[in-house]
Amino acid sequence: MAQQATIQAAPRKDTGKGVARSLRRAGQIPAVIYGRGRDPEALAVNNTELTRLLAGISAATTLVDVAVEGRAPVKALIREIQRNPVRPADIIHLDLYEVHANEKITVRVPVKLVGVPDGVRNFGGVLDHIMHELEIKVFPADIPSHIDVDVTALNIGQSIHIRELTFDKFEVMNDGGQTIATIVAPRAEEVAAPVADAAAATTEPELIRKPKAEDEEGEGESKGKE
Amino acid sequence: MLAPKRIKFRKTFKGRSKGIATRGNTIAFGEYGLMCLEPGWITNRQIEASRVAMTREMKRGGKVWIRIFPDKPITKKPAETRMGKGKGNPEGWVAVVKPARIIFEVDGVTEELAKKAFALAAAKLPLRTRVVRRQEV
Repeated sequence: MAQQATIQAAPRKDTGKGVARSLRRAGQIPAVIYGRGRDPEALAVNNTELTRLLAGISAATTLVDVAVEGRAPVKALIREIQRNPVRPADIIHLDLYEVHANEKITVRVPVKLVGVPDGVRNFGGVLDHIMHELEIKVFPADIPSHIDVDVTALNIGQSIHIRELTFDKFEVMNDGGQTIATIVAPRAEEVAAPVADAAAATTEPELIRKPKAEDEEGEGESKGKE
Repeated sequence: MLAPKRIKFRKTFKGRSKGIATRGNTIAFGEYGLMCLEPGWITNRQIEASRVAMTREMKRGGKVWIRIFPDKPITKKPAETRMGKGKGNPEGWVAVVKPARIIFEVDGVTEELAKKAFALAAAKLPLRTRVVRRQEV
Protein backbone atom coordinates (compact mmCIF):
# COMPACT_ATOMS: atom_id res chain seq x y z
CA MET A 1 0.00 0.00 0.00
CA ALA A 2 1.18 3.49 -0.78
CA GLN A 3 2.77 5.67 1.90
CA GLN A 4 1.36 9.06 2.95
CA ALA A 5 3.11 12.41 3.06
CA THR A 6 2.29 16.11 2.95
CA ILE A 7 3.83 18.88 0.87
CA GLN A 8 3.22 22.50 1.86
CA ALA A 9 3.23 24.67 -1.25
CA ALA A 10 2.70 28.32 -2.08
CA PRO A 11 1.12 29.48 -5.34
CA ARG A 12 3.25 31.69 -7.58
CA LYS A 13 2.17 33.91 -10.44
CA ASP A 14 5.50 34.50 -12.15
CA THR A 15 7.11 31.83 -14.27
CA GLY A 16 10.28 31.49 -16.32
CA LYS A 17 13.93 30.74 -15.63
CA GLY A 18 14.69 34.07 -13.96
CA VAL A 19 11.90 33.58 -11.44
CA ALA A 20 12.84 29.92 -10.96
CA ARG A 21 16.46 30.86 -10.27
CA SER A 22 15.56 33.54 -7.73
CA LEU A 23 13.22 31.04 -6.05
CA ARG A 24 16.06 28.52 -5.76
CA ARG A 25 18.35 31.19 -4.33
CA ALA A 26 15.68 31.88 -1.71
CA GLY A 27 15.57 28.20 -0.67
CA GLN A 28 12.43 27.33 -2.63
CA ILE A 29 11.91 24.80 -5.42
CA PRO A 30 9.68 25.70 -8.38
CA ALA A 31 6.93 23.13 -8.84
CA VAL A 32 3.83 22.58 -10.93
CA ILE A 33 0.63 20.68 -10.22
CA TYR A 34 -1.59 19.41 -13.00
CA GLY A 35 -4.22 16.75 -13.54
CA ARG A 36 -7.41 15.86 -15.35
CA GLY A 37 -10.14 18.51 -15.04
CA ARG A 38 -7.92 21.25 -13.67
CA ASP A 39 -5.61 23.91 -15.00
CA PRO A 40 -1.92 23.52 -14.32
CA GLU A 41 -0.78 25.73 -11.47
CA ALA A 42 2.72 26.95 -10.71
CA LEU A 43 3.82 26.43 -7.11
CA ALA A 44 6.83 26.92 -4.88
CA VAL A 45 7.93 24.34 -2.32
CA ASN A 46 10.43 24.70 0.51
CA ASN A 47 13.69 22.99 -0.47
CA THR A 48 14.67 21.72 2.99
CA GLU A 49 11.23 20.29 3.72
CA LEU A 50 11.06 18.61 0.31
CA THR A 51 14.52 17.05 0.61
CA ARG A 52 13.66 15.72 4.06
CA LEU A 53 10.35 14.34 2.76
CA LEU A 54 11.95 12.61 -0.25
CA ALA A 55 14.54 10.93 1.97
CA GLY A 56 11.81 9.09 3.83
CA ILE A 57 9.43 7.97 1.09
CA SER A 58 9.42 6.05 -2.16
CA ALA A 59 8.82 9.10 -4.33
CA ALA A 60 7.41 7.37 -7.41
CA THR A 61 4.63 5.53 -5.63
CA THR A 62 3.67 7.71 -2.67
CA LEU A 63 0.45 9.69 -2.66
CA VAL A 64 1.21 13.10 -1.23
CA ASP A 65 -1.25 15.64 0.16
CA VAL A 66 -0.44 18.93 -1.52
CA ALA A 67 -1.60 21.75 0.70
CA VAL A 68 -1.61 25.02 -1.21
CA GLU A 69 -1.98 28.05 1.08
CA GLY A 70 -5.59 28.72 2.02
CA ARG A 71 -7.07 25.71 0.25
CA ALA A 72 -8.02 22.15 1.14
CA PRO A 73 -5.19 19.66 0.40
CA VAL A 74 -5.40 17.56 -2.77
CA LYS A 75 -3.95 14.10 -3.40
CA ALA A 76 -1.12 14.03 -5.90
CA LEU A 77 1.67 11.82 -7.18
CA ILE A 78 5.23 12.98 -7.74
CA ARG A 79 5.59 12.55 -11.50
CA GLU A 80 9.06 13.96 -12.00
CA ILE A 81 11.91 15.31 -9.93
CA GLN A 82 14.36 17.26 -12.05
CA ARG A 83 17.79 17.17 -10.49
CA ASN A 84 21.15 18.72 -11.25
CA PRO A 85 22.91 15.99 -13.26
CA VAL A 86 26.28 16.58 -11.56
CA ARG A 87 24.86 17.04 -8.04
CA PRO A 88 21.73 14.83 -7.89
CA ALA A 89 20.99 16.07 -4.37
CA ASP A 90 20.09 19.50 -5.82
CA ILE A 91 16.48 19.51 -6.95
CA ILE A 92 15.68 21.83 -9.83
CA HIS A 93 11.94 21.31 -10.31
CA LEU A 94 9.08 19.15 -9.11
CA ASP A 95 6.09 17.85 -11.07
CA LEU A 96 2.93 16.89 -9.17
CA TYR A 97 0.02 15.04 -10.73
CA GLU A 98 -3.34 15.44 -9.03
CA VAL A 99 -5.24 12.16 -8.80
CA HIS A 100 -8.88 11.31 -8.14
CA ALA A 101 -9.71 8.39 -5.87
CA ASN A 102 -12.20 6.83 -8.31
CA GLU A 103 -10.05 7.06 -11.43
CA LYS A 104 -7.36 4.62 -12.43
CA ILE A 105 -3.96 6.10 -13.19
CA THR A 106 -0.84 4.79 -14.87
CA VAL A 107 2.22 4.64 -12.60
CA ARG A 108 5.72 3.23 -12.95
CA VAL A 109 6.46 1.02 -9.98
CA PRO A 110 9.90 -0.36 -9.10
CA VAL A 111 10.45 -4.12 -9.37
CA LYS A 112 12.29 -5.88 -6.55
CA LEU A 113 13.69 -9.36 -7.09
CA VAL A 114 13.16 -11.64 -4.11
CA GLY A 115 15.35 -14.59 -3.20
CA VAL A 116 18.62 -16.00 -4.49
CA PRO A 117 18.06 -17.89 -7.76
CA ASP A 118 18.97 -21.56 -7.88
CA GLY A 119 21.28 -20.95 -10.85
CA VAL A 120 23.21 -18.33 -8.87
CA ARG A 121 23.44 -20.25 -5.58
CA ASN A 122 24.36 -23.65 -6.98
CA PHE A 123 25.86 -23.06 -10.41
CA GLY A 124 27.55 -19.66 -10.15
CA GLY A 125 25.28 -17.93 -12.66
CA VAL A 126 24.73 -14.18 -12.73
CA LEU A 127 21.32 -12.65 -12.10
CA ASP A 128 20.58 -10.09 -14.80
CA HIS A 129 17.85 -7.70 -13.69
CA ILE A 130 16.53 -6.33 -16.98
CA MET A 131 13.31 -4.47 -16.11
CA HIS A 132 13.67 -2.21 -13.10
CA GLU A 133 10.17 -0.71 -13.40
CA LEU A 134 6.72 -1.86 -14.48
CA GLU A 135 3.98 0.41 -15.77
CA ILE A 136 0.70 -0.41 -14.06
CA LYS A 137 -2.87 0.89 -14.20
CA VAL A 138 -4.28 1.15 -10.72
CA PHE A 139 -6.59 3.07 -8.39
CA PRO A 140 -4.56 5.63 -6.40
CA ALA A 141 -5.33 3.93 -3.10
CA ASP A 142 -3.92 0.61 -4.33
CA ILE A 143 -0.53 1.79 -5.63
CA PRO A 144 2.09 -0.66 -4.35
CA SER A 145 5.40 0.78 -3.13
CA HIS A 146 7.15 -1.91 -5.22
CA ILE A 147 6.43 -5.19 -6.97
CA ASP A 148 8.08 -8.30 -5.58
CA VAL A 149 9.15 -10.89 -8.13
CA ASP A 150 10.29 -14.26 -6.80
CA VAL A 151 13.33 -15.51 -8.71
CA THR A 152 14.29 -18.38 -6.40
CA ALA A 153 13.36 -21.13 -8.87
CA LEU A 154 15.33 -19.74 -11.81
CA ASN A 155 18.20 -21.77 -13.21
CA ILE A 156 20.93 -20.81 -15.67
CA GLY A 157 19.37 -19.81 -18.98
CA GLN A 158 15.91 -19.36 -17.51
CA SER A 159 14.04 -16.07 -17.42
CA ILE A 160 10.94 -14.64 -15.84
CA HIS A 161 8.55 -12.68 -18.06
CA ILE A 162 5.72 -10.26 -17.32
CA ARG A 163 3.04 -12.71 -18.51
CA GLU A 164 4.08 -15.18 -15.80
CA LEU A 165 3.08 -12.74 -13.08
CA THR A 166 -0.50 -12.30 -11.83
CA PHE A 167 -1.83 -9.38 -9.85
CA ASP A 168 -5.27 -8.75 -8.38
CA LYS A 169 -5.35 -5.04 -7.74
CA PHE A 170 -3.78 -3.68 -10.90
CA GLU A 171 -3.07 -4.49 -14.51
CA VAL A 172 0.37 -4.31 -16.05
CA MET A 173 0.59 -2.15 -19.16
CA ASN A 174 3.93 -3.46 -20.45
CA ASP A 175 4.06 -6.15 -23.12
CA GLY A 176 3.69 -9.63 -21.60
CA GLY A 177 6.67 -11.01 -23.49
CA GLN A 178 9.17 -8.63 -21.91
CA THR A 179 11.78 -10.20 -19.66
CA ILE A 180 12.06 -9.02 -16.06
CA ALA A 181 15.12 -11.00 -15.06
CA THR A 182 17.27 -13.77 -16.43
CA ILE A 183 20.12 -15.95 -15.18
CA VAL A 184 23.16 -15.91 -17.40
CA ALA A 185 26.06 -18.33 -17.30
CA PRO A 186 29.18 -17.08 -15.51
CA ARG A 187 31.69 -15.35 -17.73
CA ALA A 188 34.51 -17.53 -18.93
CA GLU A 189 37.98 -16.72 -17.62
CA GLU A 190 39.42 -14.01 -19.80
CA VAL A 191 42.31 -15.11 -21.93
CA ALA A 192 44.76 -12.33 -22.57
CA ALA A 193 45.35 -11.86 -26.28
CA PRO A 194 48.19 -9.36 -26.40
CA VAL A 195 49.09 -10.18 -29.98
CA ALA A 196 45.58 -9.54 -31.26
CA ASP A 197 45.32 -6.37 -29.18
CA ALA A 198 48.61 -5.05 -30.42
CA ALA A 199 47.57 -5.78 -33.96
CA ALA A 200 44.25 -4.04 -33.42
CA ALA A 201 45.99 -1.01 -31.97
CA THR A 202 48.28 -0.60 -34.94
CA THR A 203 45.82 -1.28 -37.75
CA GLU A 204 43.59 1.55 -38.77
CA PRO A 205 39.86 0.99 -39.29
CA GLU A 206 38.40 0.97 -42.74
CA LEU A 207 37.16 4.27 -44.16
CA ILE A 208 33.42 4.43 -44.89
CA ARG A 209 33.88 6.44 -48.07
CA LYS A 210 36.45 5.46 -50.62
CA PRO A 211 39.63 7.43 -49.88
CA LYS A 212 40.36 9.84 -52.67
CA ALA A 213 44.04 9.14 -52.35
CA GLU A 214 44.92 10.13 -55.88
CA ASP A 215 42.74 13.25 -55.77
CA GLU A 216 44.10 14.38 -52.43
CA GLU A 217 47.63 13.80 -53.49
CA GLY A 218 46.92 15.68 -56.66
CA GLU A 219 45.44 18.59 -54.71
CA GLY A 220 48.34 18.60 -52.28
CA GLU A 221 50.80 18.72 -55.10
CA SER A 222 48.98 21.49 -56.88
CA LYS A 223 48.74 23.49 -53.62
CA GLY A 224 52.39 22.94 -52.97
CA LYS A 225 53.22 24.22 -56.39
CA GLU A 226 51.06 27.31 -55.86
CA MET B 1 40.22 -2.84 -26.89
CA LEU B 2 37.37 -0.67 -28.07
CA ALA B 3 37.84 1.05 -31.42
CA PRO B 4 35.56 1.90 -34.33
CA LYS B 5 35.30 -0.66 -37.13
CA ARG B 6 34.70 1.87 -39.88
CA ILE B 7 35.29 5.60 -39.86
CA LYS B 8 34.55 8.48 -42.16
CA PHE B 9 37.68 10.53 -41.52
CA ARG B 10 41.12 9.38 -40.35
CA LYS B 11 41.94 12.50 -38.34
CA THR B 12 39.75 14.95 -36.42
CA PHE B 13 40.21 18.36 -34.84
CA LYS B 14 41.04 18.49 -31.15
CA GLY B 15 37.81 20.29 -30.29
CA ARG B 16 36.83 22.20 -27.16
CA SER B 17 34.57 20.91 -24.42
CA LYS B 18 32.18 23.05 -22.40
CA GLY B 19 29.02 22.48 -20.42
CA ILE B 20 27.76 19.24 -18.94
CA ALA B 21 26.56 16.01 -20.50
CA THR B 22 22.92 16.24 -21.50
CA ARG B 23 22.78 12.64 -22.76
CA GLY B 24 24.05 9.51 -21.10
CA ASN B 25 23.77 11.19 -17.70
CA THR B 26 21.33 8.76 -16.08
CA ILE B 27 21.73 5.15 -15.02
CA ALA B 28 20.02 3.09 -17.70
CA PHE B 29 21.00 -0.56 -17.21
CA GLY B 30 22.47 -1.36 -13.82
CA GLU B 31 21.92 -0.35 -10.21
CA TYR B 32 25.14 1.62 -9.68
CA GLY B 33 27.13 3.87 -11.98
CA LEU B 34 30.42 5.74 -12.14
CA MET B 35 29.78 9.37 -13.04
CA CYS B 36 32.39 11.67 -14.53
CA LEU B 37 32.82 15.06 -12.79
CA GLU B 38 35.24 16.75 -15.18
CA PRO B 39 35.43 17.20 -18.94
CA GLY B 40 38.17 15.32 -20.73
CA TRP B 41 39.28 12.41 -22.87
CA ILE B 42 39.34 8.76 -21.84
CA THR B 43 41.46 6.48 -24.00
CA ASN B 44 40.45 2.99 -25.02
CA ARG B 45 43.38 1.63 -22.98
CA GLN B 46 42.07 3.36 -19.86
CA ILE B 47 38.57 2.00 -20.50
CA GLU B 48 39.94 -1.52 -20.91
CA ALA B 49 42.13 -1.25 -17.80
CA SER B 50 39.14 -0.07 -15.76
CA ARG B 51 36.92 -2.83 -17.11
CA VAL B 52 39.48 -5.52 -16.28
CA ALA B 53 39.99 -4.10 -12.76
CA MET B 54 36.23 -4.07 -12.14
CA THR B 55 35.51 -7.56 -13.44
CA ARG B 56 38.43 -9.00 -11.45
CA GLU B 57 37.26 -7.30 -8.26
CA MET B 58 33.75 -8.63 -8.83
CA LYS B 59 35.26 -12.09 -9.38
CA ARG B 60 33.32 -12.50 -12.60
CA GLY B 61 30.02 -12.05 -10.76
CA GLY B 62 27.68 -9.22 -11.62
CA LYS B 63 27.46 -7.43 -14.92
CA VAL B 64 29.33 -4.41 -16.26
CA TRP B 65 28.16 -1.95 -18.89
CA ILE B 66 30.53 0.46 -20.62
CA ARG B 67 28.52 3.57 -21.45
CA ILE B 68 31.16 5.44 -23.44
CA PHE B 69 32.84 4.57 -26.73
CA PRO B 70 36.24 5.84 -27.92
CA ASP B 71 35.34 7.09 -31.39
CA LYS B 72 37.72 10.04 -31.68
CA PRO B 73 41.09 9.35 -33.31
CA ILE B 74 44.14 10.93 -31.67
CA THR B 75 47.20 11.73 -33.68
CA LYS B 76 50.79 12.06 -32.57
CA LYS B 77 53.92 13.26 -34.27
CA PRO B 78 56.87 10.87 -34.25
CA ALA B 79 59.65 11.53 -31.72
CA GLU B 80 62.38 14.00 -32.63
CA THR B 81 60.44 15.48 -35.49
CA ARG B 82 60.55 19.17 -36.34
CA MET B 83 57.29 21.09 -36.16
CA GLY B 84 55.24 21.43 -39.31
CA LYS B 85 55.00 19.00 -42.23
CA GLY B 86 51.36 18.29 -41.47
CA LYS B 87 49.35 16.58 -38.80
CA GLY B 88 50.76 13.46 -37.13
CA ASN B 89 49.62 9.89 -37.58
CA PRO B 90 46.60 8.37 -35.79
CA GLU B 91 47.93 6.70 -32.65
CA GLY B 92 44.88 5.86 -30.58
CA TRP B 93 41.24 6.40 -29.75
CA VAL B 94 39.54 8.43 -27.05
CA ALA B 95 36.02 8.99 -25.78
CA VAL B 96 35.13 12.62 -25.14
CA VAL B 97 33.32 12.98 -21.82
CA LYS B 98 31.69 15.87 -20.04
CA PRO B 99 30.71 16.22 -16.37
CA ALA B 100 27.65 14.12 -15.40
CA ARG B 101 28.39 11.45 -18.01
CA ILE B 102 27.92 7.89 -16.73
CA ILE B 103 31.05 5.96 -17.71
CA PHE B 104 30.33 2.48 -16.30
CA GLU B 105 27.35 0.75 -14.76
CA VAL B 106 27.23 -2.44 -12.73
CA ASP B 107 24.46 -4.69 -11.47
CA GLY B 108 24.13 -7.98 -9.63
CA VAL B 109 26.59 -7.10 -6.86
CA THR B 110 26.28 -5.52 -3.42
CA GLU B 111 26.73 -1.79 -2.95
CA GLU B 112 30.01 -2.37 -1.08
CA LEU B 113 31.48 -4.47 -3.87
CA ALA B 114 30.27 -2.04 -6.52
CA LYS B 115 31.97 0.84 -4.71
CA LYS B 116 35.21 -1.15 -4.36
CA ALA B 117 35.16 -2.06 -8.04
CA PHE B 118 34.44 1.54 -9.07
CA ALA B 119 37.29 2.80 -6.86
CA LEU B 120 39.69 0.54 -8.74
CA ALA B 121 38.25 1.64 -12.07
CA ALA B 122 38.40 5.33 -11.11
CA ALA B 123 42.09 4.95 -10.28
CA LYS B 124 42.71 4.07 -13.94
CA LEU B 125 40.91 7.15 -15.26
CA PRO B 126 42.35 10.63 -15.79
CA LEU B 127 39.29 12.40 -14.32
CA ARG B 128 37.48 12.87 -11.03
CA THR B 129 34.48 10.56 -10.70
CA ARG B 130 31.69 9.73 -8.27
CA VAL B 131 29.65 6.57 -7.63
CA VAL B 132 25.94 7.15 -8.17
CA ARG B 133 22.89 5.00 -7.60
CA ARG B 134 19.76 4.55 -9.70
CA GLN B 135 17.10 7.20 -8.96
CA GLU B 136 13.44 6.25 -8.74
CA VAL B 137 11.76 9.29 -10.29
